Amino acid sequence: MTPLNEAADANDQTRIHLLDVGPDEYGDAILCQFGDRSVLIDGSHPGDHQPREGHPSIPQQLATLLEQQEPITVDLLIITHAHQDHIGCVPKLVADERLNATWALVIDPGLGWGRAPGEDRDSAFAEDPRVLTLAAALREEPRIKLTGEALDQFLADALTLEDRYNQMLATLDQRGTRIIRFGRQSTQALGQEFADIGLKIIGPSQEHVLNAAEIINNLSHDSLERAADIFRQDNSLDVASAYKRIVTPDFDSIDVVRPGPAVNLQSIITRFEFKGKKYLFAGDFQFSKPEVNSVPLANSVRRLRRKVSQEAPFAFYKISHHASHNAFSEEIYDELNGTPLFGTCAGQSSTHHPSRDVLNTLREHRTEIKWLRTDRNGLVTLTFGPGEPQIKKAKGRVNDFQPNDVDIPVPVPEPIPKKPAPSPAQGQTPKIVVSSARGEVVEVTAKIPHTTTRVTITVDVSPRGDQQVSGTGAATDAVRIGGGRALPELLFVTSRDALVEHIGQLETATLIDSFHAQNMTLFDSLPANATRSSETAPLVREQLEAHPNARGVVIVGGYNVVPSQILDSLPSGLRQSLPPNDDPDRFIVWSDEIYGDLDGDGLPEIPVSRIPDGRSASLVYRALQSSGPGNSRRAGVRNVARPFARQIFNELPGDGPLLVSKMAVFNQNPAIDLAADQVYLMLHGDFVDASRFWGEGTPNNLEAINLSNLPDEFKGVVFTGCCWGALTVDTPAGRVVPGRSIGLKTAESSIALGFLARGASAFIGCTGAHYSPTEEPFNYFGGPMHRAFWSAYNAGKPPAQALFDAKIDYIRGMPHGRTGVLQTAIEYKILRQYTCLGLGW
Amino acid sequence: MSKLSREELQKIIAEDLPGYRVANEDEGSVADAPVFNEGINANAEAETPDLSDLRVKYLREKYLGGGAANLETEDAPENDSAPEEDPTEDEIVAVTPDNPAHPWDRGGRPKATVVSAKEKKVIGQQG
Repeated sequence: MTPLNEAADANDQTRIHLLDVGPDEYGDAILCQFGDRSVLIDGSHPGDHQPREGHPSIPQQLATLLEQQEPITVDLLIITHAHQDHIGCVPKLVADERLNATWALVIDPGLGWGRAPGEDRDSAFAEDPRVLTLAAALREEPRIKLTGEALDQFLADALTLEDRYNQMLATLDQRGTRIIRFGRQSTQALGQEFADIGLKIIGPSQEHVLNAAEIINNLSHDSLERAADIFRQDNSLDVASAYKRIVTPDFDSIDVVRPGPAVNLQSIITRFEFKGKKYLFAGDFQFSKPEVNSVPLANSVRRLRRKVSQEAPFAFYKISHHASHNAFSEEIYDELNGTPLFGTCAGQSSTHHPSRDVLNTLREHRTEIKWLRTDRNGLVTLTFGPGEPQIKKAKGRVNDFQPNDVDIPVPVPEPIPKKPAPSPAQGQTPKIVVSSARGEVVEVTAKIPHTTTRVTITVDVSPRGDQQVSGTGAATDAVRIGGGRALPELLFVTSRDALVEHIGQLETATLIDSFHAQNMTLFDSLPANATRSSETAPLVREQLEAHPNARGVVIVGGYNVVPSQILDSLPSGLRQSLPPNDDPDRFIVWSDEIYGDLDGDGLPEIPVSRIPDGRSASLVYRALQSSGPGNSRRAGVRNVARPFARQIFNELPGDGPLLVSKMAVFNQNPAIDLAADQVYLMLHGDFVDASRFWGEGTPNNLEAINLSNLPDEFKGVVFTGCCWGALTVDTPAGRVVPGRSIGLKTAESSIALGFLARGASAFIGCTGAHYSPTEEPFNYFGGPMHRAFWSAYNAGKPPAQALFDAKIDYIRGMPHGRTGVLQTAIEYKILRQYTCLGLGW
Repeated sequence: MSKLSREELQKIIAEDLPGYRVANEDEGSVADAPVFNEGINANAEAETPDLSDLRVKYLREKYLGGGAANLETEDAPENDSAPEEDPTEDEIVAVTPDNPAHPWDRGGRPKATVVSAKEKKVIGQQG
């Protein structure tokens, strides 16, 4: 190797300093000097603002390398992702005015912590800071070896990291740093500013960062629950002991159920190109094994690998994630097209990083490459000029392939003692408070000891007797919207004139008077002769603009009162590539979602539900008066050839069996009992005869249920996977012939409308043919939608909102494992055709 | 057109769905009413955006608020969500019971079945 020409102009040189990141595990901090431009990528550990155990502090190293006195200024500060061992001591250095930056490219804190604005994730656990601390620590890299004060410090730092990060951004902002919050703000101006050093942000895309944020959000909820559970089991535990019980040597094997990998996958991938040489840095990006249960993210990682490969070879490639097995592999080495120089950052006491697999891969290529690692080399400086790169290291040797996990004693976790759950009598007792009894609702607050217990609360409420509202002469409270419950602000929409034709003059007047008397927001001026949603949806959007607090839209009337949208459930590109097929709807479906569109892009921002009139005032009244279900009883019937429905039904609360047809038929003895709070039907349906649903294999093809099986009174929620189960007209959308009229189904001809006429809170189903998965684990086609709906509903969401949220969840997972053109088309159809009938709130 | 011959399809259906057979053309498709085939989506008032756009819209709204910039446009990434091109694409075929019920019995109508041409098995069913 030829030494660098000492006469070379320093302004033509690139110097990459892998900083000594101290005695702890993990940690990343890299100072890059491209000529006279300086870039600091990540800030090591929180404690590295000061020297520790013979390791120089980060500011000491920066000052020496940049030949500056404190406060040190760098041209660009990059925080790749929201982990403690990358944000490190930067918040402290900024707070102490020891570090400034002209520009900062940082992961957006809301996305990095997966926080949706307005979502109060932590408040339920605020009374026990141990829970919050433990959950915060679980999103960090697992610190198996830490004990004593070091562990206590790590836990304290984890809890405060988010606040310190936000404060750091506020302080930098005040001092005039131009901050780009990655994932939220455009990086274009940054790219222009650093075009002279060839800054290119390879990724990840905003879509990728958002997908990761959603996973972080979900798994953070799980971490909180998990943390709360461990203290519920043993209230005497301190946080450190609880952490050691969870974070055991095989903790990495459950990465998929903790937020860490998703946080790593938000790492900003930057490429610099200076004087004809390229350099790549990617934080903790898990290029080799994403370890998240998300097809879209896995696809995105593959795409990013291709993009990195297209940039290769590099003069230097920092192996991400401290050279973990999930970051680098032989395959990735090959994709780097002959890159000759590799390095990674890790603290001195690192154990499992760099991983044996990565080290073996590098060893295989030892004659072609050079490899540096700060856990054994301390501060490493690589200088690039016209000749071969010059390597300086504080200690150790180049190409050290020795793993760190040789003979490491690993603490054995203590077993979790099982304690009997205290009964309420041993501790607190339930306390019930009637806090309000004004207006339409009685508000009751119950405080129940947070232990394993069951409390039954019965509240008897008598009418106040003063609820008659005068003014119209009609019985204006004849229709008690929501059965008198407090509802969120909803926009009810209809065409008064068209409704008159369907349910009668007096009945319509009574209904409209009732809305007004109960201060509901009603827009009843849609044109009576509209036949397409394009005529009516813009008028509804205007109303939504005037009522920005509306949480949902409820359409009152069938398709002949307020037209539904005939929707191509496929994007045009996908339709063009679709092979000939026998989908009975040609992937065209009816959809009401256009009425929840606030921003004019044709997609809903809020849930939409519809109460079809079925030419019956009684149906409309009963559906509107739904008082909302409980959750003490479930019922269901599935086709024998749909075993996936069993898994979903088993997750519903309450008791009650899932009947199976072929064995179950409509006239069996004992009779099928659908009087339940939650009803799940996974049967065959038909668009002509909606009065019955079928299973398979029954003698003479007897139906599983028909209208005779519906209870006289029903307050529950029904969710179906039956084809055309929620079709309320006689013509599927794909069969509509212009100029030909569309007939309406009624409560006497439709199970869906029959349920609504009996008071159902909601009937959720498809407007077209549904597709079921038949291959285990049944996590594609209709399966994930069913599960997501019931999950959201049983988390307390009203049915319309639960369906809306389920669809977003479904979008996040699409395509669910099966990724061919036709399979993807089926999932688009599932997504777009599900609809909520009934009040839904 | 079809990736699998009718015989191959029939064999798969017989194995995976005993009691069913591939519907004959004269039995019609799963549709029994005349289908408006001319320009199938000519009636459609709207189409669905790409999955990538759907995903960004809803997650952006949740985490960044409605007014946040769509950075995908300027970054112009490849479409993460594009279906994989697979020369052994699946098929949706109509199947009908071996012993059909009375023609008026709607429960016995032909039904769509998803057959994986690659795996040579039924992977999904209508209903």
